[in-house]
Amino acid sequence: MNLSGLREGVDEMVDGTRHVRPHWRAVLGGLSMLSDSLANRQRRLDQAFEDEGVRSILPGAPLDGANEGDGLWRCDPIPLPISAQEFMELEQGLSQRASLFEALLDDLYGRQTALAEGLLPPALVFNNPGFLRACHTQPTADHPKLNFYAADLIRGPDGQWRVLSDRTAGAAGAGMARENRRILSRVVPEMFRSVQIRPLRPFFDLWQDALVKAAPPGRLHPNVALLTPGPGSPQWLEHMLLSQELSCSLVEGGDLTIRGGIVYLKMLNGLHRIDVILRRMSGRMLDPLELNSGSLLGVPGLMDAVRAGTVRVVNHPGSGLTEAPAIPHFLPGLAQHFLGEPLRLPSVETVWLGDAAGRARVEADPTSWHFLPAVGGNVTLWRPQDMAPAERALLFKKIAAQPQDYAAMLAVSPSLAPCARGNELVPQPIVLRLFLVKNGGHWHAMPGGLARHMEPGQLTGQLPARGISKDVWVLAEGMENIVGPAAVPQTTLAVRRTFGELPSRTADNMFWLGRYIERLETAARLTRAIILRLGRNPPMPREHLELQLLDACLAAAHLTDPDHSSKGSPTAAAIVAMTRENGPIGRLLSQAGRLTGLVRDRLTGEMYAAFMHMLRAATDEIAESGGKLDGLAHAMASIQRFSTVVAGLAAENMVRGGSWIFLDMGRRVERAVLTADSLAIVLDQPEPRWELGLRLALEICDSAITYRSRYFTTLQAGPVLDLVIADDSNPRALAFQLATLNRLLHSIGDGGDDRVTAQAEALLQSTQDIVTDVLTAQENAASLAAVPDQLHALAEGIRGLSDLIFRRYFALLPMPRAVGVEQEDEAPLLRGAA
Amino acid sequence: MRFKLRHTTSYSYDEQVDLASHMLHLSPRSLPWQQVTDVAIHCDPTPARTAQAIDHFGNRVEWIFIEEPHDRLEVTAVSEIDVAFPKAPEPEATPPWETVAAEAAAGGLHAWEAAEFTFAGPLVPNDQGAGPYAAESFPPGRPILAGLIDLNARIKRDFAFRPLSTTITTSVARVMAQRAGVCQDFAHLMIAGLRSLGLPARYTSGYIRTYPRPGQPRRIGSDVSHAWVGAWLGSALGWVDLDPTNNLIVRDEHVVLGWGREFSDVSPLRGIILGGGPHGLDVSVDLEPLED
Repeated sequence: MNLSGLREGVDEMVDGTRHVRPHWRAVLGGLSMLSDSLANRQRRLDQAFEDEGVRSILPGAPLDGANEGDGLWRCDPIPLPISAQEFMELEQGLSQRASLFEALLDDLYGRQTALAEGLLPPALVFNNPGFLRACHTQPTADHPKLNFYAADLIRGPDGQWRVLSDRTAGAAGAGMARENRRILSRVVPEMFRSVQIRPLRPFFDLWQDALVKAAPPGRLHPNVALLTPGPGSPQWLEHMLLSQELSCSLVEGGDLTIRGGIVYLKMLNGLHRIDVILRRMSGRMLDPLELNSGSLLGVPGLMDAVRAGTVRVVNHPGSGLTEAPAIPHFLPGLAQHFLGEPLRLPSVETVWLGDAAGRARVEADPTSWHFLPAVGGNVTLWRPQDMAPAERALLFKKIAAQPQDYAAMLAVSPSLAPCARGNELVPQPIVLRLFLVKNGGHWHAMPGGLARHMEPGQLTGQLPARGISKDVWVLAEGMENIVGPAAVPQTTLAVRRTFGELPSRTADNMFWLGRYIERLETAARLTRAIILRLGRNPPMPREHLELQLLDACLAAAHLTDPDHSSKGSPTAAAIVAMTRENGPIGRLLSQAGRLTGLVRDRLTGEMYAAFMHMLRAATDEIAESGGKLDGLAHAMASIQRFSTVVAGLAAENMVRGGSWIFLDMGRRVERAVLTADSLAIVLDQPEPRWELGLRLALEICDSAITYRSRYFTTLQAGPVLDLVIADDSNPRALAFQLATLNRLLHSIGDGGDDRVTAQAEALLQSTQDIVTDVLTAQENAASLAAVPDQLHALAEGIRGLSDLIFRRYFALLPMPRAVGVEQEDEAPLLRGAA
Repeated sequence: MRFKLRHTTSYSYDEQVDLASHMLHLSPRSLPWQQVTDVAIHCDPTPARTAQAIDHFGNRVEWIFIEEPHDRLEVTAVSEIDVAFPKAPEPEATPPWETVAAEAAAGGLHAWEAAEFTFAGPLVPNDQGAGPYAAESFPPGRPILAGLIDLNARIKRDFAFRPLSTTITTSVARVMAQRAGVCQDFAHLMIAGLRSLGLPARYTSGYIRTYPRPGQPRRIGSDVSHAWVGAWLGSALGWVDLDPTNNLIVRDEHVVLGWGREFSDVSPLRGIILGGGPHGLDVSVDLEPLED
């Protein structure tokens, strides 16, 4: 191990006499027991995170992975241990800070004595975008302001931990910390064997319990929802992990609606009341009516519901106010004022530059400081040390002009902790994020946290887009510390087996995922059938005709590449074009991946990993085929396997509830439409080619083997059409799709919607009618000739059914928009008064 | 002066609005020099829910939530007001403007509330040319009210009142450039200028009495919303209201609805609708003097 290259920060692992600190011994002992190399474990860790979609969804990472090891968010195999004593001190210090911020927020959203008594300059409140005037009304909601608090800390050269930034709005990372622990203990179990560390789960029990207790009084079974900006948010994965950990609904603003001052979640079977909203978006975005009118993320009327007390938003919508970087300057005085005691855990020394004495100190030695905006959240930081002279002069000029808009923070060298790099341990500067929740009148810190290796300039409160995180171990002192406080027992829940309790948006995503997967399978099946025939060079005249028909099927499904639309038979070039990244199949693959990501919270980790693995593998195989047909045939076979695996995993792992219903409905609708269209095309033949058409029909429906086992080799229209159209025991037959759809529709809520199920039943009946007509016809020729049109009509009917399903179950309300407020384009002209 | 006030806002929508939430600043606030009685707000269609509060600035605010489909909305606010602003102090007896700015900057017991009105807002940013323009009225040591009266007069002289030349989002910079606008623009311009000198200034929304042309009767509903500026003279003297559109110090022909940092804090009616398509807006105001 290479322990050289220490920088100026204090070392977490080694003390001043080059001895390993006691609480690190277990970590090093665990490392020495590894059966293979550290680098190998790092690779396995990366793989495990990738399988769970962690690397692909974290901020800054492209959706389908990126170059190996180029610094995406990853977890270091070496944890950061903290001794029980040190953790206790941190917990006490942070609890005091959380209490102080609660008192300060209560005051600033109330009587504002801190301003009247001059303990805090008005600029830090009134010029602070985090101060939400909509929360400062009379009457106002008298809710506790904080339920959650987090802080980023660094340990300075003197060995003292100091708070780098306070997060009172709702910091990300608690879900990630749990994920780090879960995966690390699976991939590097040796390290966990010889040491007792405190588990993380009890913290989430406490948190969940605190959320339930936050509900308005009198609510017997309160419903908690985590409000996220959605999959576009860099914290989407964190939000999913957290909602699972806290057993609450994961909702976007558009999933919620307010009626009569009460917040509801739009579910398939109606509106469900929400009592507590764990907000994971900026308070300013919560309500376009009273706050940012351009926010499409929020819910109009939410602030009114909060004031009315029908819902609790935690943390309080305006709690971002106290994240202003200049506020630490005033915390010692505020602690005396509000708590009557000194601040236990200091901030990294911070000066508000609106203060003349502080400004003089900073000006005397400006390169020892970092500079931040005084208010507006901790997202920007300037380091004059790293700036070009002209740039630096400009910054100082701006500060001199408006000093009250800036804060300075002493540049402190953070402590160093060993991080794995290959097989070596390299000391790296680290920052530690700890999380606290309030339950039963007390603050409790998560016995763990999120440490990360810090690049220069990452001293702000935001998690960076890329970087290395570390599991944080809090060593257990005695057994009594291992068991966290148990969750307060709740009222017994009634057993529920309803099917409709699924947000409409999730049902929509599941439905489309089902449709895309089925389209992929059909595309792969048809493409493989074409490649098979193209491979036999030159094709026989009969194969030539088959190729044309298969191509027509693809074209009807909009699966051919428009640049290669040929009226004749498909060419190898056309097939290659179809599978290109931006060709129809390439696009389907990426759409299926996108939708899988959107429903990530509804799939088990294994299912998600399997889906993404196979989608990536198919994409890779296409790329590796280099346009060779046999390589593409392999890739198409992979896509077909993917579709089979999805069906199998869904059947074995998913409860037959809303998610599964809509995933399967999507598949049935798509398979029914594509099968009806394809059969109509291949059966539209003059009599001499019926046999060819019937054979293709069996091939498209993957039913040749069944036919042979039933009828040996005699090919007749009646039996073939019965097998592919009317036989509801054949999973490839049209009747099977429609019968299944019918059953699924009936299983939603209270027996389904009459109009929709009636349409499904009528379509099912028409599959029987088509075949009955053929079987009973006196004149075979006439009857088969009518089939293609009947199938086209059936396909139209199924598309209509899909529309009905969409309107009944998914149609969301129109986009909200603002009237009478600042909107550049449609602002009414002012008449004014003379 | 006593008035009967009637302010009607009508929206008509080309398509049905499924859900609507509106926030109203339409009830005049009560002040030591303004008594407000018989306040009522009528909505058609009838809201499923209404709520009231006093906002951060002390104004009355109402919310209405309509949950039935509708293609028109009419909100009418009526009230009776008795208004008489206190007489402004002698201009030369007011403190030098720098003293007032310093007091606001220091904050603390007597100035922290006024300090809020020294900061920039989205419609009233720090610079944009209003600062140097206003500074001409404030040579060193000039008593603040003398400077304010001078600035008030200069705006009236230098800027043309031109209806329909601006919108509720027009920037101060654009008004500076085109040298024209309406009351709201002049108020924003004056506020931006005063704040750039460190002087607290607030946006007041309300109405002003209008007079019929000689020999013609009063036309009902022909009045409009008005806006002017509140300026701080220091903790000893408090606030004075100036109307740069008409170059006067507000006395008893202005009715105060409410005040804030700028228009968006007190917009009379703003809302979020679902559906609706393109819409038409009609506002009718009637400020009827009750004694003559």
